[in-house]
Amino acid sequence: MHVITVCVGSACHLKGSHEIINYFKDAIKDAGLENKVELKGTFCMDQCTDGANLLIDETLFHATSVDDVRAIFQTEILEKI
Amino acid sequence: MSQPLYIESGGASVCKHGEILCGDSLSVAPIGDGKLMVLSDGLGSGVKANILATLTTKIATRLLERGLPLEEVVETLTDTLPECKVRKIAYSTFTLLKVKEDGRVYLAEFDNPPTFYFKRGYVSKLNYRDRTIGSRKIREAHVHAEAGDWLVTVSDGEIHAGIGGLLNLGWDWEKIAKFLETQVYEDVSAQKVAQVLVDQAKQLYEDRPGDDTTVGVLKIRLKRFGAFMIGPPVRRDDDEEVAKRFLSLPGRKIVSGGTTAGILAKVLGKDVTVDLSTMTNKIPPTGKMEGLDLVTEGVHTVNHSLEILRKIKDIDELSGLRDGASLLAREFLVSDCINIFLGQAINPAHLNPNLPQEMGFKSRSVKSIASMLRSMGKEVHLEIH
Repeated sequence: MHVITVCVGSACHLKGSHEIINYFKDAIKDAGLENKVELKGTFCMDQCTDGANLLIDETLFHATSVDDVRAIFQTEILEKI
Repeated sequence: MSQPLYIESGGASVCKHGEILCGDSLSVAPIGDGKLMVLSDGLGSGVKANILATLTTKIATRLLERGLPLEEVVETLTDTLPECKVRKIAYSTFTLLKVKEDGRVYLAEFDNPPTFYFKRGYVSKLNYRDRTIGSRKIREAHVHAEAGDWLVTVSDGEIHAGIGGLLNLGWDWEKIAKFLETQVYEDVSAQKVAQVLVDQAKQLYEDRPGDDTTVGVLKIRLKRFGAFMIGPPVRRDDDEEVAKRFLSLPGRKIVSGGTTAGILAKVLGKDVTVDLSTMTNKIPPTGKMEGLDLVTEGVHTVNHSLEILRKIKDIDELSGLRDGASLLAREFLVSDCINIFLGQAINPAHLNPNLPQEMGFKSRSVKSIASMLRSMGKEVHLEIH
């Protein structure tokens, strides 16, 4: 089981955490991974200047666009499952 | 110690058919530790009645606010009201209702229908004592009300609703009392009950009211407290002390901002979880934490909440909405007394020139919310840390 945690704090919200969450929701569903990947939100991770921030399990990633998270999803989830 | 009470008020009226001005007047004013409601029905209808009724409620309210005795009020009214040229009398009725936050009720009525007193499911009249001031016979009553009691006062247009039409003798006090018993319940607002009574009378008049009809409602209930914390204190050393003091405040605990929620999580030894299902395009999702009643994101939610408070006319417009800003606005609207802790620590990320300007407006928005809630008659204490 993998856990994706996306920051929904003020700064990350502005940097697109809403779109990022929606992307992950669809991507997990499209890949049929609902039972293997859990999507969660969290408030501020204290990394506001680098956001939008997200964790894949315990590893921190920064994303500035849906393209970034698409790449992260590819390398960190799809290729590892 | 008994829990503090709050006196919620509501009022509604409808003009006599064909009139633009209402010949009744209803005024509600806060007095030191309670509320004062005055209802007056001026002689006749239209402008003249409106002037008489308005003068009566204004004079009575101003004098009673200053603590003058009833004799002075009645004498001042008698000496001040202009005389009707046709009828050669200066006349208007009144009901004065003073309810203190400790539950003490004082009622004085002159020529108005008896006030309805709702207690434990039943409506009754209060025990009156008659008293004559000048040439006027006045009924007075004292009672000690508790949470759950209601006082409803009406002009005679309400009692006469339907007279000679749908109902031979009009709606009648006893029938209104029975109707009221079916309309009053714990969660209904004073304003709603006032509106329902007026609407019902209007229907009985078949939409052509034969008299000005006014209803004033006082709902006596427990005072609702809310405590709202947003933003971490400027001095990090203050975090724990401020958080502990916030948690000791009475009423519901509402927290905005991830860092602020984090401080409280540390003090409470609990985790914050985010409920993604409450997320919308504009508003980040809300969170949950044991010991707190609502957790939201900070600056965007608060800015949106302010917009909502500016826009909506009735709290019912928020029913069914689950986003953080609507839930936050709802908490503000249902509270009678709100303690706000505004922390002004700066989040370095929010200074990024690429971010929209509103990011820096948190303090300003919170202050706007505070002044808006004050203008709604709520007790607001704003503490800046």
